[in-house]
Formats: sequence, C-alpha cells, structure tokens
Amino acid sequence: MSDRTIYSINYLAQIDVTYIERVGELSKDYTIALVGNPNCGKTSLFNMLTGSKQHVGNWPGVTVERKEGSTSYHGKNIKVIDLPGTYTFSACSEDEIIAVNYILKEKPDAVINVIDSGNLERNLYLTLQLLEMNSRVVIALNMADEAEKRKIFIDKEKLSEALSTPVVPTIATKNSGIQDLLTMSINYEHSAGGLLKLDYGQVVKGESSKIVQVLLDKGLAATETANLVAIKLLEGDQYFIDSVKLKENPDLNDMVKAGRQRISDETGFDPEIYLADKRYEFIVHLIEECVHKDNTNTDDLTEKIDKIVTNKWLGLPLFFAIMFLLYQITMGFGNDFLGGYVDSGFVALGEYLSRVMVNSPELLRSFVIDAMIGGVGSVLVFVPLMLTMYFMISFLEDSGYMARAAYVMDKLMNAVGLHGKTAVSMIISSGCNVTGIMSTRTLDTKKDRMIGILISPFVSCSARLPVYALFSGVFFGDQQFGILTVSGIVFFSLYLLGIIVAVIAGKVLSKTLFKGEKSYFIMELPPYRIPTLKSTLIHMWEKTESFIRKAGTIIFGLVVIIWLLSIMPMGVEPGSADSILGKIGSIMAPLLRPAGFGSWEAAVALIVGVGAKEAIVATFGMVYGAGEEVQLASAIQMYFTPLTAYAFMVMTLLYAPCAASLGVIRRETNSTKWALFALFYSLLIGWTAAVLVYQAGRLFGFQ
Amino acid sequence: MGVQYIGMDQLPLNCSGRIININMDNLLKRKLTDMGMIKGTEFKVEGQAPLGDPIRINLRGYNLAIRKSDAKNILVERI
Ligand SMILES: Nc1nc2c(ncn2[C@@H]2O[C@H](COP(=O)(O)OP(=O)(O)O)[C@@H](O)[C@H]2O)c(=O)[nH]1
Repeated sequence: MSDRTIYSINYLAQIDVTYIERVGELSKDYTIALVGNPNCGKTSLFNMLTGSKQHVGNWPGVTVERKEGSTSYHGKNIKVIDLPGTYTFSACSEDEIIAVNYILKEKPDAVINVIDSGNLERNLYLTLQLLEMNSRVVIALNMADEAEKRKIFIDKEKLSEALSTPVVPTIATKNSGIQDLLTMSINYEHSAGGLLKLDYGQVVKGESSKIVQVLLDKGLAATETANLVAIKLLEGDQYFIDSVKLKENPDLNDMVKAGRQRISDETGFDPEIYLADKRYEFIVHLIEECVHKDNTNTDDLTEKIDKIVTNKWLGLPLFFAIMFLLYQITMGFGNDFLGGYVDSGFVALGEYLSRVMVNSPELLRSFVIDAMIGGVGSVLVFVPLMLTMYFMISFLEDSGYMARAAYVMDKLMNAVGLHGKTAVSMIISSGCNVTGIMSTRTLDTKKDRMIGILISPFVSCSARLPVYALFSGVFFGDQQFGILTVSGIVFFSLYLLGIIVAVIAGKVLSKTLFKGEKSYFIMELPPYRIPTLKSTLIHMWEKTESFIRKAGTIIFGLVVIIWLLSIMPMGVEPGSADSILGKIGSIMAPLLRPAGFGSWEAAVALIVGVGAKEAIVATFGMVYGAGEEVQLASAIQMYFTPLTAYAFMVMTLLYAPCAASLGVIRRETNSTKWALFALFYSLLIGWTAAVLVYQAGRLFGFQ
Repeated sequence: MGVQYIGMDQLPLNCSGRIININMDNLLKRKLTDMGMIKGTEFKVEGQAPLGDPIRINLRGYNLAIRKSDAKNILVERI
C-alpha cells in the first residue's frame, strides 16, 4: 500500500487517494462502467476491452441500447457496461437518466470516464459531474495520438492531482494504454465519501448547507451524498427531485425554491446556468494549468475535408453520389451477388429435402419445406444485404460523415417539415425499412423521431424488388422507351413515388398530429477519423444480429401462421380457394376491385405480403398452382393487364409496413397504438393510390 | 450608441462573437449550456451548409452545427 500526495488547487476540497492491490479480493461480478461524451472513442475502447465477448440489448422500458461485455484481469472475469454517450448528466434525456441511474443505483465497482484529449474543455464538464456523483473514477485520456499530432500537451500528473483521480492516456484504436487503464480501474480506490466538492461560491454554499441539514434530518440522503443531492436540487435536476420525492416534502420544497430564488437574485443567472458556468470556469482554469498548446491551429485535415464535403456546390451532389453508391453496392454486391448464393442455397436445400422426404407424410413435408425452409429462408436472404449495408453505414458513421450528411441535407428536409437526419434514415430504409426505422433513434425530439418512424415504410425497400421484377418482367420486359428500358422507368417511378409519398406524409404529419411540437438541429460535427476494421465489423454484426432477432422472429412466426391458414381446413388443396386463406382472400377481393385486381388470389398475396413483402411472389406461385417461373409468368399475364400490374405494384409499395416493420414501430414508439396507426394509415394511402392509378389509367384508355 | 447585440444567425462567416443571452425554452437552453454555450462564451462562425443553413460554429475547441432558426434566439455580440 502506498500513499500519494495530493495537491489541491484552491477550488477543491482535498480528497485522499489510496492504492490497494485488490486482485485477491475481486468479487465474482466486478463491474466497470464506461461513460463519456459522444465521439470520444468510447465504443472503440469498449471493443478493445471486451473483444467479441459482448452482448447488446435494451435498457428496460426504453429503446436505448444496452451494451455489456466482459474482459479478464489476472484470470478473473470483469463485467464491462457501456453506458450511453452523453454530454451531461442533467437527466433531461433518456440516455442521461439511464447513465445517472446506473451510476447511482447499480453502483458499479469502478467507472471509466473516456475523454477526447483534443476536446478537453467540453469533455471535462461531464467528468466534473461524474466526480460529484461517484468516487471510483478513472479517466481515460483517449485519442492521445491525435492530441500529440495536434501538439496539445496535457500534464496528466497535474490533471490527476487536481481532480484527485487517476488519469491514463489511451489510444483506443491502437489498443494502447488499455491494460494500464484496466489495472488502474481495479486497483485504485478513493477513500470513502470522497466525492468531489466544487466550490460554487458563497450563495450556493449557504443554500446547499441548509438543504443538506434537512436532508440528513429527514433521512432523505446519506451523509456522503447529501451535498450532491442538495446541489442537484438547487440545479432543478428532475432525477433528484423525484428520488427525494420533493413534492411530498413541502418544507424542503419551499427551501429549495427559496434557495433557487436567492441564487438567481444574487448572481443574475438561473441556478442551473450559474452552476454550469461555474463548472466551465473551473475547467478553463484547470486547462490553463494542465494543458499546453503549441499552435493555435485546430484540425487541418477535418478543415480540408469539410471544405469539400460541405462545399456550396459540391456538398449536395456528393451526398447523393455517396448514397447512390451505398445503395448500388448494397443491392449489387449484397443483395444480388451474396444474397443470390443464400437464395439458391435454400432452393437447393428445399429440393433436396423434398427428394429425401418423398415418403414422409404430405403434411410434415409441407411443413418442413414450405414453412420452415420458407420461413428461415425469407429471413436469411436478407442477411447479406444487411451485412453489406451496415458495413458501409458503420464506416460512414464512425468516420464522421453521417453528421455532415444530416448537416448538408437539413435545409432541404426542413422545407417539408423534416429533419436532416431523416434523410439518412430514408436512405437506409431503401435497403430495409426495419433498419431505417431503427436508425431514427439518433433523432433528438419526439416529433422528428415519430415522423421519421412513420414515413420510413413508404420508402421502397429491397423486399419489394422481387414483386417489381416479376410484374415488369412479364409486362414491360423487352420494351424500350428511347434509350431507356420501360422496366427501368417502372422501377424508378416506384422509388420516386415512395419518396414523394413519404415526404408528403411527413409534411402532413408535421402540420397535423405533431403540429406545434418543436424540432431543432443542434449537433456536434466531430473531427473526421479513420474507423478501425475491428470496430466497423463489430458494429456491422451487432446491427445485423439485432435485425435477425427482431425481424427474424416476426417474419418466421408469420410465415408459419400463413402456412397453417393455407392448409386448413384439413384435406383441402393447399393454398386453394377453399382453404381458410383463400376464403379470407375471397372476402377481401371486392375491396380491391376499384384498383383493378379484385381476385381472391391477389388479395391472398397481399395479405401474405403484410407478413413479408418478398413472399408475395411465392404466394402467387402457390395460388396459381404454378411451380415454374414460366408458368407463373403466363398465369400473371392471364390475370393482369399492364395497367392493373402497375396498380398492383403501387399497392405493394405503399399498402402496409411489413410485419417486421410493424413490430419495430411498436417497439420503438413503445406503443401498439402507433403501430396500428401506421398500418391503417398506409393501408388507406396505398389503396387510394392504387385506385387512383387504375381509374386514371382507364380514363386514358388503358385496360 | 454602445455595442450592438445581434442574433447569432446575423453574424457573418468567419466572424467571432460572444454569447450575451440565450432566449430559448428551458430544455434547449439547458442542452446548449451543458455543451458549453453560456453567457460570455466566445465562438466563431466557421461555415454554413450548402443551402446556407444550418451554420457551423466553433466553440471551446469543437464544431457545432445549429439551424439559423435556433441561432436567431441566441443573442451575441460581435468581437
Ligand atoms: N486517432 C484515434 N482515433 C480514435 C481513437 N479512439 C477512437 N477513435 C476513432 O474515433 C471515431 C469515433 O469512435 P467511437 O468509438 O465510435 O466513438 P464513440 O462515439 O465515443 O463511441 C472512430 O472512427 C474511431 O476509430 C483514438 O484513440 N485515436
């Protein structure tokens, strides 16, 4: 055991730091929590610490991701929790409440505060708040390489002494300093009650000590935390107001009110602003003492890239070019090339099994081949697409481009009542609506987020492609229009229609249901950085896995249900007009007559399509009793005309979010009502659009 | 006449300013405060998006993008 001398610069109460070798006494579930600002490199550090041993879930009741992993130290298992990246602990957003709650209630054995060395001033704000709440903090001075390159020299000894907490320089991307950080986190412990006490001046001190007294008398706070609670109450922090049940303690409530009033009167600031100001004042002072900059030049590279990427003339074309490329690669390489293998793999597997099972009962064979293989297959064919798309998206996100994309697009989007970040989630939706909906998590306000969620399903996703391919192949396959193929024009018109409907829906929603709710665009533009392959791959897999889990279970479940409906009642020809599915189709068919495709077969295909849109093609195959592609084509030709085919494609595009999307909408909005709303308003829009297309077409003399 | 106070959106490109007052609802004001934008904080307008909005400012060593309609509620003084 060794003691360290602590300097205390005049703002700070002196706190002792002791070193204890604790390996021997580590409890089985020793837990380290990671906190830090967004973009400080926290995820990279978490990845380095935990490698592939991580698990992503959700915090109970909210949609914020909960990442947990483990690492080992001298053979002992150490749990690592990655708390959401936040700028502050003022408990205004879900992320902040989760972080505060975890630190105060779950009491991790140690907290690692990751900070960006190149951006100390703002990063240390969270550090101060953390040190006020927790006494077992180790600071990871991350991006040490960048700081060095930019000639920012940080006296870490001094910083450590001033904050009375260990400071370890790290480079998360190069796995440098991580082991030291772990050793430090486990072996350092501050003496009990060693919370940081900043000097907020006489007024605050006077008011807070009065409140501390009451808190202690009433047993509302422990001795160690009473000062913290008092300060937070004066700051108007909702989390603490709730935790001491301020409303039920009228005298305490009055005292806090009076205290806040005094602070405003004496300082001329709202208390929360005054306290923030004091913290920043302290930080500026701290930086003067501990940081030495060799030049004033900030970040050359970022500056240069931004000159191009956000250039008046190049900014938008570049955005569209990058997104076009993203889409092309996702579809060409991910969906067609890689996805093709998976698809033919499943077809081959199905054929093989039907040969092997030739003597098994018809029902079992049908269950295995149609329901099992079909169900698993319809989920798995999307995996290559997801992997490809998420690889590129992760890269763009981690490099810092996505923030610019939102920045560049905001004005355009805002003109129709949408947010810059919604442009990005719409692009992602063109791969898969589910992922698009999930990507709206990055939107700050409820209004922007809800609108983003509700309009994503109108964007044409890859699952609709097989339907377009089938119909335009049959009707427009070899026709040319000038140098363009008619099929190409049909595809393009459907994409455009999807985007137009999404934008109009967004505009209408923002003027009606979300009228008057505020939206803002306040966002950090982080420096450009080269993401590591490891982080990008982990990110890619995480997202894909969450797709498989969320969408997979829903799609699979639905495919099985629909299969059941198609074979019941017992003894009917599967998928015929006599099955339950066929009966439901017959009931629905008259509704579709105004759109030109009022057959029970089309109705059944559309019902199945709510399960998963790519299943529409297979359903046509089933209900028309056509196995081969050629037969299906001639059946389609018999039942549809070019006009009704187009109306049907419009319907497929718009009529309802797929089951997986509906499930994700429910999850992301935390409400079944919104999911039902999404279903019914798009049914209405889809039906109306299809009817309009058909009726207008007839007016122009088409059949 | 003394110093002129203007909305942050009025400050020309490449000009520096100092925050005088933030007239926003509490939540947003709190967010900006926590990100280091407080009365007296100095900043520089460093860029704007291709369509002229949002703008990009540099404060406390980092870049922040903010819509003009939000920026206009931040009273600043040119320095
Ligand atoms: N040069 C350098 N880059 C880093 C370091 N740590 C993270 N990065 C990069 O910074 C970017 C953001 O990192 P990330 O871990 O996603 O940050 P988070 O938002 O805090 O989770 C990524 O491109 C990382 O590769 C570091 O120590 N040095």
